[in-house]
Amino acid sequence: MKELSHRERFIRALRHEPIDRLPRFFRFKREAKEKVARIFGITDAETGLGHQPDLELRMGNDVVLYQIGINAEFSHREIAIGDTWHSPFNVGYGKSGLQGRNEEEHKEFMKTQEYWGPAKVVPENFPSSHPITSMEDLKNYKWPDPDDPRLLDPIKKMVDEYGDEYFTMVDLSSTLIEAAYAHIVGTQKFFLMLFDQPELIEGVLDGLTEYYTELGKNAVKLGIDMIRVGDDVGAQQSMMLSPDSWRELAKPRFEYMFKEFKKVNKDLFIKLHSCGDYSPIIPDIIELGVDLSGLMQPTGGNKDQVGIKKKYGADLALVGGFDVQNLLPRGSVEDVRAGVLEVIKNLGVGGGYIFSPSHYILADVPIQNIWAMYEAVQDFGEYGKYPLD
Amino acid sequence: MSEPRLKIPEGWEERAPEGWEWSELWEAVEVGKHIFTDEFVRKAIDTGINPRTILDDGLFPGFNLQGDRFTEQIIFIPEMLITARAMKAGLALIRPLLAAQAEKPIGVFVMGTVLGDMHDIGQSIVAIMLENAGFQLTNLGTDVHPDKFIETIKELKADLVGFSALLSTTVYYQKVTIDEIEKAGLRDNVKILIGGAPTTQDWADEIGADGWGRDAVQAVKQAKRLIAEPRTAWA
Repeated sequence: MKELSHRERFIRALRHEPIDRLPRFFRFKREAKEKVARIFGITDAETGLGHQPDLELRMGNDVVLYQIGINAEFSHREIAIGDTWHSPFNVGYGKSGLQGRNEEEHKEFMKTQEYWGPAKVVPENFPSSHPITSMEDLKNYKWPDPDDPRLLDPIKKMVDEYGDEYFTMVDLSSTLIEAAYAHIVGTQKFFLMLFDQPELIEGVLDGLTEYYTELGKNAVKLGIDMIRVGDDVGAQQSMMLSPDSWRELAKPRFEYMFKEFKKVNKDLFIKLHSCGDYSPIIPDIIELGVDLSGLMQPTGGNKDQVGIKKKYGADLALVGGFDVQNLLPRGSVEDVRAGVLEVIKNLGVGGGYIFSPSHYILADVPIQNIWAMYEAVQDFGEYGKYPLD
Repeated sequence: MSEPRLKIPEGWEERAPEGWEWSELWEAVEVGKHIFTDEFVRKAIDTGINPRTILDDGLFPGFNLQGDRFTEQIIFIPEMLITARAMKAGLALIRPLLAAQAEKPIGVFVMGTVLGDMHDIGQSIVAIMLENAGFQLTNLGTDVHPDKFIETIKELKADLVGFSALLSTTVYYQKVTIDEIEKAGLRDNVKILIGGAPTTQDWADEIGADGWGRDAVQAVKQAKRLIAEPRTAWA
């Protein structure tokens, strides 16, 4: 088959049409990205709102992604130990004490760095205060501006610069349930409020729906190919909330959101992401008209990739499935290579699959493993050759 | 698997006053009515029912039912949380009475999320389930420094210590914490349990933990197994 353009390849994979090689979709957290960028001699490896796709494209990504929304604001940001930073959503974030809060604790932390060798452990940012915990808070809450040029200008630039050759995607995450529990309300409070004060939860979800619908429509107007919503409702072994609760709280709101997006561009593709196991709601996701979804944590819950592919593969293109919890950070180079082959055998045969690690490549991944994955996907990702013959 | 059912404690009528009914409390714990649970348990205490009986015959049946449903993925975190909250309301009233009766906990358990990790939703469920199983539990919360674990283990003369980690980047602190406990000379005094999404039995073996809890129910099972194993007595 003749070589396709990146954009063509991605779109054809979404439509389950024949392609030349597996589309690739790598995403990095800053520390991992800087490590790999050095090898390719790439100097600008910015992530988050300052995202630079050079490294990902050098590794064969067929998609250029720009993330906006709650996660984009906080998750790649540098926050000093002991500081609290408030996002435009008025959620407070801080670092945990991983690097140590004083000299002595920092020494302790450095010991862990020796153990991991080149795979550094870095502290993540965590929500530490939540803006809406009462009806009063909800009434007074000011949602951010969905017309904010700070978020929309880089999308326009991405489309202008890459839109012809590459598939362009805007990630609105976290979008709904996750945004509410992890950020706006607080996890434990969110789950208890579902029973104690459901109107508060409904109000927060309505606010998020309205905000993200407007923001997403603005992004679609700029000519992107795909909107990705990211909403973690899966835990390691099962869903966090019941499939029925999800159908009640999330499904109609996503339905509304997606309809509004498609009013702007009827050909828009939609990706829905959740971490963990959310296999019970895959049929609902298909019903919502989602084009692409992931197999995010292949180590827990429903591990039956072949079964999922068989059951849903015709109606939904799949992405991910390559384990970043154990295999990528802690496997040997040989393990990684064998793992890539297995995932491609499970999911790539017959098309409708985009190769991707099951999540961001994090700071704890040794560089040789990233390299092994990159090589293996080149060796095993070509249609017409083993294992895709 | 068959649908979990309410297990009615055998012979409960003989341990309760004439005409007493527990079924409202069973249901209250099952559906997570914490205020009702509090009121009902107060009433039971005022009636003079033995606190151990209130716990076993009144509070556990509804809680165990939900625990089984949680394991079977019939209910999920929100339902388990409100049941745990109701259980906690009842326990808060019962615990001082049990202590006054000099009823011994089956073991002293110290738990927390390792340094660097702030995720504790699963841990809080495990904590309540361990407490319900009869352990005297101290939950140090999230982001716990190894020194804090060591200090608490010593102070409480703990039998077991458990730490969770949600992130593959923080899971290493489970090893560090075990190493530090070893260096402090306490390794033979306590049994160590680990848990958390990225953890596995292999990881538990690699870092020298005594047990791994795949989920909350397994954590309790492991804790009960380990408490029966020999360890060096506290001086």
